[in-house]
Amino acid sequence: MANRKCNILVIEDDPQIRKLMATSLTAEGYGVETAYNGTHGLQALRLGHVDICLLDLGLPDMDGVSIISKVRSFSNLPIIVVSARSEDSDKIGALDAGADDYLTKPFSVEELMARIRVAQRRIAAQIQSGGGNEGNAVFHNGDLTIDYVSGCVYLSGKELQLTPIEYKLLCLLARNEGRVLTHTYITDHIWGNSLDSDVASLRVFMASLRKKIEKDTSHPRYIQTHVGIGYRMMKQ
Amino acid sequence: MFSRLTTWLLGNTLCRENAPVKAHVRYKDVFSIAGIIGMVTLLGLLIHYLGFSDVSVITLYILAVQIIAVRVSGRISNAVVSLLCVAIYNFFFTDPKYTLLAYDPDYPMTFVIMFIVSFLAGSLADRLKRMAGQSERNRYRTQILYDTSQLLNKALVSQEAAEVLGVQLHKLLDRDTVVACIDEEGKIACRYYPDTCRSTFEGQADQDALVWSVRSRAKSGAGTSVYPGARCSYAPLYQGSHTYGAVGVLPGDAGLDEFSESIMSAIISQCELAMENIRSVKDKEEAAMKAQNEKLRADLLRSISHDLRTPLTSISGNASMLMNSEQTFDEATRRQLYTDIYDDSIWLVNLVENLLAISRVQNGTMQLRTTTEVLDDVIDEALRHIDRHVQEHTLTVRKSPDIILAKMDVHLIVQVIINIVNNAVKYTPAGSEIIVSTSQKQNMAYITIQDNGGGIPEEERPHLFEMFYNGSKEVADARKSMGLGLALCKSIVEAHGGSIFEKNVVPHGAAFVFTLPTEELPDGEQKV
Repeated sequence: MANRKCNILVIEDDPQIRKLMATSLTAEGYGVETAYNGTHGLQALRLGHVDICLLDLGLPDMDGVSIISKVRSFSNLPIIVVSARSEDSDKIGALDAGADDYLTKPFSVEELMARIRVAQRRIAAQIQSGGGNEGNAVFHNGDLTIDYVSGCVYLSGKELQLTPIEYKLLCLLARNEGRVLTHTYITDHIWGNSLDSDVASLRVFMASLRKKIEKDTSHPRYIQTHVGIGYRMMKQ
Repeated sequence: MFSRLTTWLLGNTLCRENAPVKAHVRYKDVFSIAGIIGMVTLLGLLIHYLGFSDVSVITLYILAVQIIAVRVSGRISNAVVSLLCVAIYNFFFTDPKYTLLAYDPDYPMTFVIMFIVSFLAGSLADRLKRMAGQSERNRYRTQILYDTSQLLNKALVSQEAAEVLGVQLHKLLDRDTVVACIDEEGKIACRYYPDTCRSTFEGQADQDALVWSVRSRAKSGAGTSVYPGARCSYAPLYQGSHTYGAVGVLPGDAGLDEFSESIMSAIISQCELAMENIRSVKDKEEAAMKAQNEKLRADLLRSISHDLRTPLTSISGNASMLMNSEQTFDEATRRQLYTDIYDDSIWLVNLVENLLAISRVQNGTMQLRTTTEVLDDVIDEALRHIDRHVQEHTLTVRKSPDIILAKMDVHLIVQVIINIVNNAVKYTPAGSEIIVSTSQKQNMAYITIQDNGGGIPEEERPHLFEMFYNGSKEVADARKSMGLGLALCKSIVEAHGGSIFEKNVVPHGAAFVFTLPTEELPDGEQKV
């Protein structure tokens, strides 16, 4: 990562936004490629030298979700979805299809850069652990440590008392570190189904889990809330 | 004379038989006949033993026949019981006793008279009973008609009227009934009464007949010349130029009697009128709503086009200055121009967010996409999107120690919090304190946004939540607001079943409070 430039592909049909993203990313020292529709975007991605993909959901030729499914069939690169506020359900569909993160228009350049850095950390973590966190017996993130073998969680070396569901939640988020997981995705994995009442339970479990692992719940370090969308474990 | 009377009685009995009488003998009836005759015979033996005249015994038997006729209907059973009584009387009370012989030459005549009298008495009792039953049925039908009109009056949409029609027809006729309604897209939607009788109407001929009745507004199906092969009869529901659907009834083997048919058509026309009324009321309401929406839209457009100009002029002006003569400005001036462009565009972003929320206020009812959310998360989310100028103020969040869950359309509630906090930022001098706090009281969540600014002038308070009211106060940056924010907040909060109000704070400042109904915490591990 450190010895070569990080290549970012911007798939966006609006020329102004495309230019804005390209300019600001270049200014930050990233390598930038652009594509103005899904077909061109997929072609560029197939070449395999793209590290991160920024994908606009409202493309003229293809549906965003189908692009993501296609990309996921051959690559695991971070995909950040860009969408307008009114397309909330599309956003959730895109995340469920395998996108990592999302940005809502209008977004600020700082926000865009922050998201890119999160994606970069995810790539770095993957390379470190040799392809995904799944194989590791111990998970480290800042002061937080999960020992999958003994099923214990430590914060700054102190063991935390978690209920079984809180532990499952934490593990799920840790295994998908850096990815935004939708409510449906989480309830599907924890309870095996997704009823409305489970989403309410999820909120409560998440709030109590947070109280245990976050010092300041208003400014969470580890678990980010994406209101109306889901949750994400942040890499420290 | 007797024979005429008998024919009259029998004839009437036949006419009254609507439904085929089940011919088989019921054991319950046999037992009650045996019981009554047995009791009468015991009583007769007692009278006979005490030495009273046999005439009273005969009268007792006639009474027995009458009582039996009330309990067990039917001409044949009446005749059989009368004969049985004569035979038993002969057996127990005439010499020689305990035989079916009679020595006295008067007896045959006595037997014949006794048979005829008991048979007629029985027939009369039977007829009275039937008439009582008939008037009970009439009362029941009148009741149904009355109930129907009451229920139809209460129906607010034509589906409700159709439901009433189906339920009442089924109650009245006790036959399988279908009510087909034409929905807004012109499709025919059927409801069945009882729910399980769907198969009755599923034959091809029946479905064709139903559709034909709806399309041609005429009767069809069994008993008519159109689709006579169908199992059921269908009648259209229409009034004036508008067709509402059709009704189908399974006539059964015996068909429907005239009385039922007339009541049925009365109910159907009641229903047609009710549907017509509902439709015209709806049309009027829609027209009124449309006019109101038009007015709102016109106001909105006027207001927007006027208010958009200011920030757009500023953005384009500043940008063009920078493009043309960037070098001539010093660093501080340039910085100021960039800041102005940024501030104005953020102002436009907020405006667009509010307009998006307003566009969802349709037909007076909001289309809420609700999910259950933790209040603290929603407040954190909202505070991430507030005005940049908040840095000049002290913003404190005081969260309730408990987790508060509420069902809400999260984007709209976030918008409410943003609007109120931005107002606080805008209308208080720099350095003021803004406190956002949450609490829960009796199934209601309270979100309070309080500042220690100048408070709200008394004369403005009644108008705060009115649309396009923007007060008289000079704002720090001299830009007037559109007067949409609080009006929008009010309609959003009210659509969620909460309320919004403001109060002045002692010694100075304003507080805006809104409430939301809370959700029960789901049972779970967190209590362990």
